[in-house]
Amino acid sequence: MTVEGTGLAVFVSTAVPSAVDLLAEVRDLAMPEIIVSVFACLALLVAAGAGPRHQRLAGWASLGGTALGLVSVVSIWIAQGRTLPRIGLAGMYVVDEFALLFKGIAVVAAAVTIAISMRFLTEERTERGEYYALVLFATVGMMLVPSGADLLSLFIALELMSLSVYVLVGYLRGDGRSNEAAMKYFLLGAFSSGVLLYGMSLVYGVAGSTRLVDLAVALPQAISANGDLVLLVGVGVALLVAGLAFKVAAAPFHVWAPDAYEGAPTPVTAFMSVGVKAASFALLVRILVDGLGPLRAAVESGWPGWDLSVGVLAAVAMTWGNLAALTQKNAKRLLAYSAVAHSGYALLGVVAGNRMGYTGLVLYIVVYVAMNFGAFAVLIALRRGTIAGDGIEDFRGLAARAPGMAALMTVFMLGLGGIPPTAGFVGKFYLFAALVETGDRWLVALAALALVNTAISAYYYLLFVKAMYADADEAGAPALATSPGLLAVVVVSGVLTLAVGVYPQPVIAVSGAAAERLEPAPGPKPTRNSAERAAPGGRAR
Amino acid sequence: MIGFAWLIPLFPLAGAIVLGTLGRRFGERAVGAIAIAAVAGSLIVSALAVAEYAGSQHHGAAVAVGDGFPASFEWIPGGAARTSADGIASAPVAGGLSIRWSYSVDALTCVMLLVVTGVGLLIHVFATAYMRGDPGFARFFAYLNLFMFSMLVLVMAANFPVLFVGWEGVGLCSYLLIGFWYERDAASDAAKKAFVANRIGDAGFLLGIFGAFAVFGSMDFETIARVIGTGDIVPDALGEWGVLSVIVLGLFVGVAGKSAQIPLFVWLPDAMQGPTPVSALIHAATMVTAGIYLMARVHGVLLAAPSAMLVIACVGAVTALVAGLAATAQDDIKKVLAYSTVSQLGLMALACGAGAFGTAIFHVMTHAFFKALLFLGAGAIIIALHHEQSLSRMGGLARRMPVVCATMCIGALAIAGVPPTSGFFSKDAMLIGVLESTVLPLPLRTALFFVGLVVAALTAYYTTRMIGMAFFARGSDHDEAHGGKLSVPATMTVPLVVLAVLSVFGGLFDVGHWLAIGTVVTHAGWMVPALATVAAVSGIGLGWWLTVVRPGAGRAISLRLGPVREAAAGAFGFDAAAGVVPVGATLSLARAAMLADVEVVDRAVNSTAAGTVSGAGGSNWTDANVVDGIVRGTGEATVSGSLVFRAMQSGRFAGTSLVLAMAVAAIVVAFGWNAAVAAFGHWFGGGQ
Amino acid sequence: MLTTVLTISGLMFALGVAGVLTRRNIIVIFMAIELILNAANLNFVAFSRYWASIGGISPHTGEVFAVFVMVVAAAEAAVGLGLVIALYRNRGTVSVDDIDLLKW
Repeated sequence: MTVEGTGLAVFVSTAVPSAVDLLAEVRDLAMPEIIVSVFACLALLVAAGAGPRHQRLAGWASLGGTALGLVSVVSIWIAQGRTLPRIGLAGMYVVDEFALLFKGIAVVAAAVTIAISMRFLTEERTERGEYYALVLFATVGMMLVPSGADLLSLFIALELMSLSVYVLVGYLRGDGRSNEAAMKYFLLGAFSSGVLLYGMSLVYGVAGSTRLVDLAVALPQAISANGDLVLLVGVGVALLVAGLAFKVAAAPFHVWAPDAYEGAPTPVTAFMSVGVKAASFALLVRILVDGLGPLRAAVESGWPGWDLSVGVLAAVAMTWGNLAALTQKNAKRLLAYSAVAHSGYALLGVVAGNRMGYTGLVLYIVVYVAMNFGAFAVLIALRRGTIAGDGIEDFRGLAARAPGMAALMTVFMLGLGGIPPTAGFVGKFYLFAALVETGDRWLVALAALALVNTAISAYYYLLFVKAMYADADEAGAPALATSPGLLAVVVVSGVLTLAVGVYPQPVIAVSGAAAERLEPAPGPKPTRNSAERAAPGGRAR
Repeated sequence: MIGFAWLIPLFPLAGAIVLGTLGRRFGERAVGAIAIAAVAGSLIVSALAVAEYAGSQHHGAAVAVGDGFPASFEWIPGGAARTSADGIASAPVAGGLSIRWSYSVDALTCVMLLVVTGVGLLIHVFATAYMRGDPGFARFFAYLNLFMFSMLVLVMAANFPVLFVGWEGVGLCSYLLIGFWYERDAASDAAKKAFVANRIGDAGFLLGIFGAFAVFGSMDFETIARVIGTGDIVPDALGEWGVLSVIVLGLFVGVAGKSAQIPLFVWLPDAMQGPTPVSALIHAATMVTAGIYLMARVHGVLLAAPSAMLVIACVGAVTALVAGLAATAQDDIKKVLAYSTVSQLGLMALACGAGAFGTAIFHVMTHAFFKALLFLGAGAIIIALHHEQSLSRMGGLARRMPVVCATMCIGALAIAGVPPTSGFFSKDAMLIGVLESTVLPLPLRTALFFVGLVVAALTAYYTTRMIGMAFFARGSDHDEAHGGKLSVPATMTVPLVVLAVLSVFGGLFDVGHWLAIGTVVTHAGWMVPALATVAAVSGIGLGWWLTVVRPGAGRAISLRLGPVREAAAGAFGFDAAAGVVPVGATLSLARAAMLADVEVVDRAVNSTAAGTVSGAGGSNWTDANVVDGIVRGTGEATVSGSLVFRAMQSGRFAGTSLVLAMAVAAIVVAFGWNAAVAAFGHWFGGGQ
Repeated sequence: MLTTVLTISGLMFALGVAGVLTRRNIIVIFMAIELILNAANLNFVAFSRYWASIGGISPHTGEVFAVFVMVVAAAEAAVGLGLVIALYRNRGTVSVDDIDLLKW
């Protein structure tokens, strides 16, 4: 025991300056998170103090918190843009453009979720303030994840997010489907966290540090110094990849998604499919690109490289998600499979590994936020009284009942299907072009597969359009359950989906800035490369 | 006005937005006026732009439209585009993708602009009469204007992605308009079919686009043409299947979807479920010719891939023949015209495959005139007879609708290719183009030429049959029951007359010559015109004889041909197969995926995982659960077998988690857990 | 020494995975997940000791990590058991075989 004791003392005395300094550092680095956390606690207090009729106050307070959080994120980007990246808290926490963009996505996701939840919770007769507090706590997790520069901070942030979302999924306590979804999500989520953690422990064992920058240096050194370590690092990386694939719901690790998406309250499903997904991708990028980037490709010494397995994951996720979505009758379940496919598309950016691929990944997530939230908002508006409103047949004749809503839903579906001139097309275009740009024969083939998948996916997205425009109205269908917040979400999402499709330059610029510090993969690999690419003048770098 | 050509698509877009948002508040007159004004605006600007282009020294070169927003702006930014190429071997430089939203005007665009806006305007006018009283009047014109916008973007696009925007836009509008009368199940199904066929096409098209990007380093038509012009790209030889051939085939899959070539043509006859003006505008005159336009637009790439061109020519010829035969056996007047359109599109694809792109565009133009005329005439009949579309229940309409009859007869003569109508010139040019092709090998091009002649005769036959049955055959119930004149409003007759005039004199504008792309056909010699005329006249004679002079004989022959006729009516099984093959295949694939999710994976995974677990974790053997399993699975021979059994019995959660765990366990085993531990021990052995 | 600990942790991980796969009772599955977390903890502590003994770049990180994992595991248990109770109230079962409202 003495050994540990003295060691810890040394650690404390050298690495941690003083409590006051530490707090100041937290304040400087993590103001948005502090704001959102404070408002989350405030919402809890309101929930406890306000009567059952005034629980919505907690919602308004939370909405204010997200607004302030967004202001804080944006002001950091604008005011401190030149000093980025800023690293602190013993190297565990980083603030750069990538982190800020994903923090922005997280608070926007929270705000939208709160906006579309209010009416929904009234319809469900379960409006309780802690719902909003949980959304904010999950949001804090989502904001911390992209700032993680250390396996430990990443893990804690991930768990903060996940634990809050488990509860949100099971929020409808009296609803068996919600319970069941929460249980399945929780069990598989905890299991995958365990797998991820075990992978982390192995990687730490070889590198001797949990900091991502150290991993990037130490792991390749260890492998090249001792070939026997390939196996151990291999197991660790394999477990990490598997755990990450679960978190982003890439098939075949998607099994939790359809159940959790279907059973969760619809606003929570929207939150999961956008906020949790974006944060999971931030986690994946941090670990795979920042931490394990140098291990991307296979090397002579026998290291197999993770690019192949991530490429296969992307291919399987796209294909499986799209095919499985074709036969779905439940809209939430369909969108769950569609989300699996979209994870596959987004992974293509990591697989491409060039500047354009990373930009495409970030861009894709940004546009996906707009399109998916819009679609879910329309879906939520269909939930009314005794009508579940989550089947595709519930969209029947919507064009006649609510032409504006139907038109915007069409825009979202076209966007998700990647049909121009919507934002979805621009996002897909960027990702596919990034693959083609690598010139690697296999990656070009992957792009071709992605194209075929896009064609398949358009079919089921258009099922919604068909139901809305080409099927007769349900007799006596009630009016939509809209609210100002929900309408605002639908309209803003629709305008963004179209505007970004027509003029994507600003969004691409922001995405490019966010992706700028991600280290691109080195040039084409001779082993997996077609001969002609290696010709002189082939690839200027 | 070329500098202001970016306005052309904006007029209908504005119309669509106004009608889509506020249309329901307006009366029918106001809606019609807005829609027509939008298209008229496009026509005027187009005409001015074309006049300027034709009068200038630009001939043959493309003129970029304007500079700066909104005429042209960086749409999907990247780095600097690579402009020089050093052969297929080179890849684009990092960040080499920059897509501008830009239009350009060249001779090809000029022709298409005039055809689309001119014919579009006439059809809009006609539609105001045709759709009168329909509850979805405003919605209809909003879609129609949106279609015009998309089509104009398509023909003005200066690069692939912008063209693709238009390409998808016209497809979407087509889909919405086919299903416009959604209360009919057939309309709804037809819309779905059109959608599936077009998505298959789009996948191929996108493959071609990205392939072109990979090879040429640009998606810009002008840059691609320039790269080819430098001679750095080595073209494939005939019979050689290089990257270029694959790209061209990919593009042709897109063409086949949009322009109804075998095997994707099956959606077009069903698309006739849409209102007739839609059939005239989208499914005859404009959208379906987008594929032909695309081939002409990238003719340089096609010419560098002769093997693929050979495929295109053959597919086009077979399409023309099959659809021509199918048209002879239809009873629905619109289906006759639909198969006729497929057949004519096949001829155009044949001409493109032979390298005579200019003649194909020439035929696109004349075909737009006379096919729109025939469709609108058919629409007038259908409205007058209260939505009767069956030819066998028409007859004797010549007296009752003289103007419609006269104009449709002119249209029929034009499509049959009787001199001196426009159809004669364009069809003649295509046939000569095939015969004198420099791309196709000799015996093949002669054979394809004769196929073209046969199709010409078939065209004359089925058109005459249609005209004869509708107007001149002894009247059926309609004729006897209400024999008076049927009133046709001026908004219908005026477009018919204008189109009839164009159908007759359109041949004077030999745009094929003007465009000068691919093989330029000069009308020399008398043999081909003579053969074509003989084919047309014999077809007309036969059709007239069997439907008007001796209808009894016609019916007898048709009875005797029973099964053949049936086969022809169903387009020789393609129609039925289409319902099964692409749609069915996709759906059964989807079902397979679901099944995989439920059954196969569950089981495979259960057994794999169970096997893995039993193999990997020795500790597992002591698990009481396994012992339980052994006890219960008395019939099972081995421990792992009993594990499989139990796993299959287990509930959904176990199945779910197994999918997840399978991969983990498999990965761990694959990387060799024991070896890893041993290696670690070896490495750390000294230290401990 | 390290090899022994690693082998034990590997066995614990395998046991945990096997438990998640084969067990039907939610509580037991949950315990199996805890086993996985503890296997990771064992690794962290063992590696930390190893790196401290040879003077690595940041010694004792693993021990700190293990403490955090314990905290997270406690929170996870709180949430998980809460969900189990809600489920049991609704359905009267804690067997994963019986929770099948959400169909494939």
